[in-house]
Amino acid sequence: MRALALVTGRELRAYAPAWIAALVAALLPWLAPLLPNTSSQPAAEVRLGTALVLAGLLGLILALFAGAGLIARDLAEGRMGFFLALPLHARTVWAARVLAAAILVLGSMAAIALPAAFAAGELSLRPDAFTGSPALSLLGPLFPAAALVLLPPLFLLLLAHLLATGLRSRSPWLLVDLAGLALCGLLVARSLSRLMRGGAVIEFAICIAIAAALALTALLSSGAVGLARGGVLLSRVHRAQAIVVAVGLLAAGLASAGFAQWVLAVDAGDITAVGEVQAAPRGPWIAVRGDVRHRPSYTPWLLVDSRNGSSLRLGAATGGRDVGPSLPLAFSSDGRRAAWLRPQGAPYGSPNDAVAVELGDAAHPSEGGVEVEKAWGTSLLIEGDRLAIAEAGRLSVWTDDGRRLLAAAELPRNAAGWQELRVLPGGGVRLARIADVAESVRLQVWDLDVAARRLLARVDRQFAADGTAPRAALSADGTRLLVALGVGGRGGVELVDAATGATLAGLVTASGQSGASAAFLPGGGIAVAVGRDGALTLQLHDRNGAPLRELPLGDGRWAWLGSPWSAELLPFTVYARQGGGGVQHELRIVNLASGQVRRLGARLAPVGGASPWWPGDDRVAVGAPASRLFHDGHGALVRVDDAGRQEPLLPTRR
Amino acid sequence: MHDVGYVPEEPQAPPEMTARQLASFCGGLRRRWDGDAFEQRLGRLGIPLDRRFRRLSRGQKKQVELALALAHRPPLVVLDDPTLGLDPLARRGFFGELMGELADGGAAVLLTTHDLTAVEGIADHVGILAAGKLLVDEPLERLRGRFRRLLLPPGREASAAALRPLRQQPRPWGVEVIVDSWSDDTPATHGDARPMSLEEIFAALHAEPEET
Repeated sequence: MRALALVTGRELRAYAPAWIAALVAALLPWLAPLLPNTSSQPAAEVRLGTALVLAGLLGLILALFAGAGLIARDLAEGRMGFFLALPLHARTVWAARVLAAAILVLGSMAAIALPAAFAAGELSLRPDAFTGSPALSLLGPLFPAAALVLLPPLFLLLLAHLLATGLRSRSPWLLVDLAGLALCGLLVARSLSRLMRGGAVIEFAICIAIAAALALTALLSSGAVGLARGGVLLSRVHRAQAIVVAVGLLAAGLASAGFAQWVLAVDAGDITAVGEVQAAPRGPWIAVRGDVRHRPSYTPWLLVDSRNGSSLRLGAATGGRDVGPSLPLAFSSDGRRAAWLRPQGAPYGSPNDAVAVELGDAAHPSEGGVEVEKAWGTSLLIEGDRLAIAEAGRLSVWTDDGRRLLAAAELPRNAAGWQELRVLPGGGVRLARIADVAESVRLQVWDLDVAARRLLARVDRQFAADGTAPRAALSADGTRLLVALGVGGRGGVELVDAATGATLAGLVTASGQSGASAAFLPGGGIAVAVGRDGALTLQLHDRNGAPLRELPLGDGRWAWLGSPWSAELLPFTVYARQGGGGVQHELRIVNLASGQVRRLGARLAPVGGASPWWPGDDRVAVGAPASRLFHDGHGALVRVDDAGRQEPLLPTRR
Repeated sequence: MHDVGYVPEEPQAPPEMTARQLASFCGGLRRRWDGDAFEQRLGRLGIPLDRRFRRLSRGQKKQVELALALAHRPPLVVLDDPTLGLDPLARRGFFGELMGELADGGAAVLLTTHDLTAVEGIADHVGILAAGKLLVDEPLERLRGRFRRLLLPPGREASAAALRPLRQQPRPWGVEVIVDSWSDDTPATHGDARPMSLEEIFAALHAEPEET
């Protein structure tokens, strides 16, 4: 350490002219407010802005200057022997020179920037708003900010050294340096692109850290190895250094590629907590997204065969957790196919391809597809030989392989809060949506006549506004809509004719109910669970909304209706407020024929179905696997049988 | 490197440092350091301690580096062609100073040089390198003892054949033969056998082979 300190001190003294330049530069920001045309801005801001620009510029210049002179100049001019003839390790000479150069560069930057930042009050340390970790008001969270400030000058310094050594030695090994740099850059860029495309934001940062650490290690050790192996001969130093750099950079590139590959190689077995689930109306396939083992932010959608756990990774359509549309995929009603918005590039802003996925023993996405500019606000439908795509401002219908456009029409570009597509009996496609139009929330329905290639505007209706957008569900045949009004359906529920927009029936009124969940039932009927005075009632209606009968469901404020297990058995989860203000929920099942309610007792919530916030459609077939799937409230997806026994599906291991 | 003092062929010390700063820096890295001896040596030679190294003459730089190499009293001093580029006066001063110092300290000196005449009187052991190959590695006296230049009258060349001549050169007065296997027992039937200087031996070893 004594030798290191001695040599570092010597090197720092050798940089005396650079220190003087830095001190002069540090005075300039304090003179900047005296310049003309700066009087309109606060002096502290002018000082700080000038200081940051000067610090960056001087840091850049000094890093290049000091890097080029780390050892290359002494080697080329035959002065390195003086140090190597002393009782010093080559690594000590190298480390001292790097240390001194880093102190020069960072110290100069600090000398210029810190006084101005301190005077502007931008150096106070406070907890970061998001992470709670220490943060500087000027730069944000402390450790990332420190890395951001410290690492680029260090890299620049070492790269300048690498280039200077190569150029001065005029050795063909310079090509190895450049090849290593290019290959490393290519591999790291590709890895980062893959992670960004997957919405793995934290893993993206980790990948940068891994590549930077390895590259930095290679660059830092290369000089020491070069000096130790090459002695005073520049060409030998460069050769040894080039080998270390090339190997190190290759390792950095491969490590980043391997890390990205590992992060993205997620299957159903890696899920540790299930978040969102959508099940195919028929068949075993489900789309799942949730927490993934050892991946802090990568939460891709997975298409999972619930029979055997095999899966296809769909990726994040537009981002990671809590970002983007809920599901970039739509199942066909027979559950044998799905339409998928496959991202072409990074999730933010890059186009997607709408492709068909065959769901047999395995999931097979097709090649090609229809380019969709933005995933946001896009809905898909795949039925029969039709692939329908509703984008913001456009409705198009394609052959199911996406190769031929059958019909397309422009739509008003309004932000839709909800939209659904159905194929009509004549082959046309119906789009129903609730959108903000000229500051009013409107239910709109269009039919695209594929044969005539003509768009028909069916419905454009404004609902009584209480500040809350209505929620809707479109029946599987596309003929009717359930519209829930107010917060949690407490404004009432209406059955609406999707072809005309006329209210067919008011199923629930606003008066006195604590929550109404309405769902279409397979076969055309409608079920509505209504909470009043702490008790729940199930209203059954015919397809036109005429009341058929009412069944008491027991105590509870509101219920979440599942999909029917059979023609008679309808599962539902009851929510009741506890004394302490908490909420408890319980799975029950009602026999629609006898009215008998059985408590299954478990704290389970249905996948899909209808809640007061979302009416339910009738696409899930009676008794389909989807009807048996429930969340357990602890991040698990379970399958429930008639007796209430639970079979865990995901996660496969805790 | 604690036991080695090294003086390079070309002055290598950092040009912005003064002799005093160099002494302070090197002294901090050595186990032993005689700063007084360093300053006295430069004082005797009239070399200013506070002048930057780059402002010293070539001879002064050599002397500063020699002083740095000797100030920790190393048992081994390596001198890499230390008099290269020095004028004869500076060269004589350099060796004179060196010999005086080493006579006092009893250190071994490994000296590489092309100035063979200067070292002939001071070297004990000689190595001769050619094209990276060590041709000679032995005490100087033994080396000089086994090399002879034979001056033979015309027609006597055959008498030297048994000595396996290193070189043989026709001359106007006869033949000049150089042998490297001479000994005191060699019969005096070979005409005039003359001892060779180190420079002559070096030249003989480096010369292109000629027809015998």
